[in-house]
Amino acid sequence: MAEKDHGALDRMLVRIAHLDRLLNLVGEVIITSNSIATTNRRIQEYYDRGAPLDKMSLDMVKVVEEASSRISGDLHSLVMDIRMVEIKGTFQRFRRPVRDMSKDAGKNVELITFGEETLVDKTISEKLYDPINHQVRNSIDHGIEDPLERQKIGKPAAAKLTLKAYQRENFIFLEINDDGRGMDSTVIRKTAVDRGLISKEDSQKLSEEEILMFIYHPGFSTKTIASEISGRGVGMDVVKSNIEELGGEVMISTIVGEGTTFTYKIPQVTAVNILDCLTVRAGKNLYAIPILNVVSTLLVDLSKANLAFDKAKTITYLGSIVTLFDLNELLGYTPLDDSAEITVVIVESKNGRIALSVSELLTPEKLVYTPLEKIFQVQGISGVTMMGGNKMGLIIDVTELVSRSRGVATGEAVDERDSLIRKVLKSTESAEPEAPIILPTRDITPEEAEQETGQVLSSDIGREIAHRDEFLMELEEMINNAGENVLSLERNPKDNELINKVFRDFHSIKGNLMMVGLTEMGTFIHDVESIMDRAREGALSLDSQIVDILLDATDSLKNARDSLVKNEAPVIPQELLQSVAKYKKPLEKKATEFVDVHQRTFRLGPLAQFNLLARRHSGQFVYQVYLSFRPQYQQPFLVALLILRRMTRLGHIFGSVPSIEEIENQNIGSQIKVMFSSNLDEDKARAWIEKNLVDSYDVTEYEILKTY
Amino acid sequence: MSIDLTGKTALVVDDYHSMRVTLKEHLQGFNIRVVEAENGLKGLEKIRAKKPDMVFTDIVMPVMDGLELCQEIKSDPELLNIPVVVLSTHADAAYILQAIHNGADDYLPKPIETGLLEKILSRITDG
Repeated sequence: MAEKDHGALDRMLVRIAHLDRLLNLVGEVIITSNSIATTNRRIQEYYDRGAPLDKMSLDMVKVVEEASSRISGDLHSLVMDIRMVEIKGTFQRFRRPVRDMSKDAGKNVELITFGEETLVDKTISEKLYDPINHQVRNSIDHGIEDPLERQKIGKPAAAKLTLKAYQRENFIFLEINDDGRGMDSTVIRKTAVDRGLISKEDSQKLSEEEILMFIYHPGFSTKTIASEISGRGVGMDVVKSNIEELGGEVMISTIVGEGTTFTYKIPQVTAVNILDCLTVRAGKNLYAIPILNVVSTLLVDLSKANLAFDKAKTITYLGSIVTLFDLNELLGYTPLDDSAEITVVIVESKNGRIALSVSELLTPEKLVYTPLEKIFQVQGISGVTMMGGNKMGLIIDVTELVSRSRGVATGEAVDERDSLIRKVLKSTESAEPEAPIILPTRDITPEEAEQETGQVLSSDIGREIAHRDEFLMELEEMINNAGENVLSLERNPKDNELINKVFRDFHSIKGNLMMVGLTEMGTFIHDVESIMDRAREGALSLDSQIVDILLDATDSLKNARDSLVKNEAPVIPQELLQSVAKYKKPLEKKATEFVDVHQRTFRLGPLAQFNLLARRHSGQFVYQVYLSFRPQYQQPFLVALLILRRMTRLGHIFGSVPSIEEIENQNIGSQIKVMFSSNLDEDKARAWIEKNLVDSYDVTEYEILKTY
Repeated sequence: MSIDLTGKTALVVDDYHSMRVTLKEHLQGFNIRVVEAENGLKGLEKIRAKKPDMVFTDIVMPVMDGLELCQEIKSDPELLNIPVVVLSTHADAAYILQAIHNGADDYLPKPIETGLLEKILSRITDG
């Protein structure tokens, strides 16, 4: 569960407004495509006639070009918008684990979130779960001190764990902060040396921040060492590689005794293979460089370029020295001819800044790229693209290109320290994979794992459900809301508003489960709902035991939902079933005493008697009718009420056996007697009953008797 | 034989889209045109604007629930003749009863049985 989100659907909810925008754009695409056709015909005619193009044709071409460029831009940004979700959902998933983990660890940890409304790409939001999960666990297990220890050093017993998200320009920042004991770089330095990850001498050259990065080294963390260095590093290499997969980076800042902040910086644009690029020509080759990586472009008088070390040239840009490379040469192609003045693009990524010489700058473009198959991979090239004019271009991966340049540059002297770090942190693949560390999770305790006696429920989502995936997504949302509200309930157990909210949450979940035919699960949730109903009536106080049951119920719902996603049968643990049964609302005393219709006559009150007389005098007929009905899907007492209501169209009702009160108390079997008056004669009254009641209300038998 | 209600419009009120769609597809089986709303208040606006021939509503919803919606419809002389069917589960007899007190014309248990839906449609559409 910790590594993979089994419940993830590869679908998402889309706002109607976005679809409307999409529809509008499709409309514009159609219009534009029509005008291209018109323009094309016009140009063809001119060509056939051998006439020079007129201004009108040229204007038409221009209009079409502008329209299509605007539409493709709008489409791109719309697709990006559609993929955006609030990070709230990801944050919410930590409420329960944080509560349970801190309980288990005997610590008092409050989870605080900021920037829940920050929008991130759907894929990013999903991929952030595992890294955050690792760090949250580490913070609680090791970073945060015991309440006693905290008190001793004058900290509040309750620790704060903060998740914060925000956007700066094109990057999403995510901070995970704890106010625990922090990390001591001297201890980490020593451990790294002891583990043989770096020589003592080399380790002295690294800055404090660089030393901290060792916790992400796969060879760094073992359990024994972990405990010596306050456990940081458990599975941390996973964190780093996950974030790097997203094109992001991790930063650490820590103060011994005060706490640690981990910051992820992730580029917002990753999921969609559309890139804003600067296109350049170098000799015969076309390249596209992601705009995000372009620092500047300039013309350089080569006589001013400096020769440094052996072969490498450098140029000066804004006072700093940047190594210059021939782009073609760097990628293993024929270098450009020497010329006095060269065009230079300065690019930058997290691992450094270099200058590239090219022949010509082309226009910035939005490009759709195809990643290169693994076997064709060239370090420095991430994919291919079609550029304007149907020419094939190569997309530059600046990070790789900068790495590549390091090998080309004369020795490690260029940046000895940097390559030292790279050697240390090189990649997680080269190191021995670490044995997975089983962290205590609430989801799968050993008891629960071997829980075989749980109730296996039907997973048969009826043929009725039209939009299964959407149902499952909405169900997830409902379950999350319920979980969130239950957790708030634990802090405010007397908040009636909140109690009602939770009641409604479970009620709606039950309803939706029932609606799609998952009646067994629905029935179980009905019992959970009835616990809230009792709380609502004040018959039950929401102590932590009840809150635990509610949380377990939400968890089991989550698991059930995940099973449904995988088309497996959901299981509700036996233990939970028992706890719920213990607290659920006892069944209301069943109306076993049905009124025997044949044994009882009408009891008309004075008003009814007066009415009876009045209607007889006005010439209406008075009837008694006996009805026997067997509704297949509705409760008899409700059907009886509906029949009575329907019969008011036939005439005036004086009374019934059982009486309305008795019917509402469910003291009714499947028979009813009604006394009523009507303008219709007996045949017509019979025909009315035949037409309106027999089929529609499942009336199986009836007798009608004219009293007056 | 299935009844054909071509030309009739139903308003479906539920806060969950998947539920609305599920019911909608059932109703479309009878050639009913369906308008949707996500809570009672929006439902009421649509009823006033579109004058549907029938309303199907969930009970528990944010903003305005199905019980209040019944009351609003049945206390408005312009609307009270529009039949209202509440959706619920069997376990919610108390809610259904409340809805009927508030003027609901019928109730449709979840999950939806096509046969019953047809009966209810015949109850609320003739005369």
